Amino acid sequence: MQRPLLLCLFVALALPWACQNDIEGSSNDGPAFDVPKNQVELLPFRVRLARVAQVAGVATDDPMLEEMRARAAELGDHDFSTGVRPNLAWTAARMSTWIKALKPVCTAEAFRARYPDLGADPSALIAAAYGRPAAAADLADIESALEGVAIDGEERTQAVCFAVLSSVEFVAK
Amino acid sequence: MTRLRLVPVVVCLVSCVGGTPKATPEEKAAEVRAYLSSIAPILVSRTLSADEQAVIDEAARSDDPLVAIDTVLHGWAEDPALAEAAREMIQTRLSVSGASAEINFELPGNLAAYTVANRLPWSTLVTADYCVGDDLSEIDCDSGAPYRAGILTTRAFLKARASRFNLTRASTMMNTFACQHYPLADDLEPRIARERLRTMFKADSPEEQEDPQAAGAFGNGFACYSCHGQFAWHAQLFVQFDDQGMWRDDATGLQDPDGELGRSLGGLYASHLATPEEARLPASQMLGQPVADLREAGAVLAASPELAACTTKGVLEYGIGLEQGAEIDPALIAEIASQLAPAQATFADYAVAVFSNRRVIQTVIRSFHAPAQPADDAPPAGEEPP
Repeated sequence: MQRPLLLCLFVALALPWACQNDIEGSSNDGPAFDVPKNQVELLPFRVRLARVAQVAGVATDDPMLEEMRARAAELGDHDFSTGVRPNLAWTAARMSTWIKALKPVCTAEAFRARYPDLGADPSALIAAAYGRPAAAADLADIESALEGVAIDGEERTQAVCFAVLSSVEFVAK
Repeated sequence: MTRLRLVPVVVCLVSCVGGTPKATPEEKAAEVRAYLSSIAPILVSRTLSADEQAVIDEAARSDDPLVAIDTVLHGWAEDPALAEAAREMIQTRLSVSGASAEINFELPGNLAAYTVANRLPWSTLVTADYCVGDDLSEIDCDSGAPYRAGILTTRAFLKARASRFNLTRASTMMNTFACQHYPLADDLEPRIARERLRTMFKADSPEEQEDPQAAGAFGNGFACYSCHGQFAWHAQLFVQFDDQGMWRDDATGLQDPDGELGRSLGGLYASHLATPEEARLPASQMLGQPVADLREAGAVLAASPELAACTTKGVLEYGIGLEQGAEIDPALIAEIASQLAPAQATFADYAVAVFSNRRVIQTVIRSFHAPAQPADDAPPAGEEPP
């Protein structure tokens, strides 16, 4: 039993680089804290607003985002002076309000000019929204959601826009 | 070699070589990208840029893929959106935002944003001798005090944290800027001499309690002196600020004989101190050092290692999305904070030090591969599940 163990030790000592993932490191320390993973928690409202503005290529005070700013409280923003605390739960009601707030964005001429082929190819919007290239799974998810739904081209374009800009990857931590 | 003897070798090779092979450049880039993508929205309100992704890809082909994290974080230090992250962090920690007819509750958040935008030390939050308006220009402060201590002397803070004996102002100050809770360590904040306190705060047990007003164990128990021997110092700093957050030169610190326990006359709050001469003045102590008023107390806090450790913890909590006060290995906080000079370090310095720390990176990246814990939290009251 000794030689196999020695061999194992040799392998471990000779190839330390192969015994670890370079990114995760070789430290034996346990996690320094517990990263919350249980619940979907929205990004702060102002962050979501800024992200939509960035994707749309406008400032956060642009008229395109007026509906979103007007619904800030419904969308979970805080105003402690009136006793309103931040609410970052991604509820059905909040999803519905978010979609309403997105509609002026997704139908804006400037937005459409920025993503001219959105209905047929959402890759550019996905890349802008997620900060990574669109993956096959992203496109498959959208196709799957729209499969069998009778919608025209304009409705499809809006649906794709809503799907990307209300995805958990875009709105949540 | 028997079949049994092969087992350790196979296990060894699988676990050491086959099971977790050296990551490819693509895999390394994906992990670094996932890490930075998880904190980018909170810190700079956006996703990774094309340039940042190129930095990640290039570093992934090198010996040290994590160098990309340092590079990207230093870039974020120059990003105007970082100021808004600081604003949001301080607003949610202090629960102050918005405005009423009389008070602009945005002033604390404005100061935080201004401090970051102008690359000032984060400790400016408790030392600034000015306030900052909604247009991020310096303005006069609103409490009317003859001195300033950044956020601590804004009406927003003072009004939002007004309470009897000034206990909430004191505890919020120590919690937010020093992460300290009462009772503090004896050597960090030596207690005031017992004989200087009002009778009700002197007791350490029910038998010692001589004040009938405290016979029902006011607050959290009978061991009053344990906490109030330190509360007395910090609450005294606020004795001249009334319940509207205004500074008053007619404050006495004396208990209103007809009022609720802990209230003084004219909307002011009562002092812990027994003699009228001491009760009316803000002269006190902060972290063991004598101070004349809240301005001097802010300066002591600003230069303290507690502020550096607390800011480190706060930035980590905020960036990762941890609950305030979450359990974090104290050694990690100490390691990061030791690199930062509390009186000089900027918010960007804290962000770079925290999120380029290898143990922070490892903890977050490992969490990507960990299974989700069983959900045990219901949605907040009044919210239906999606």
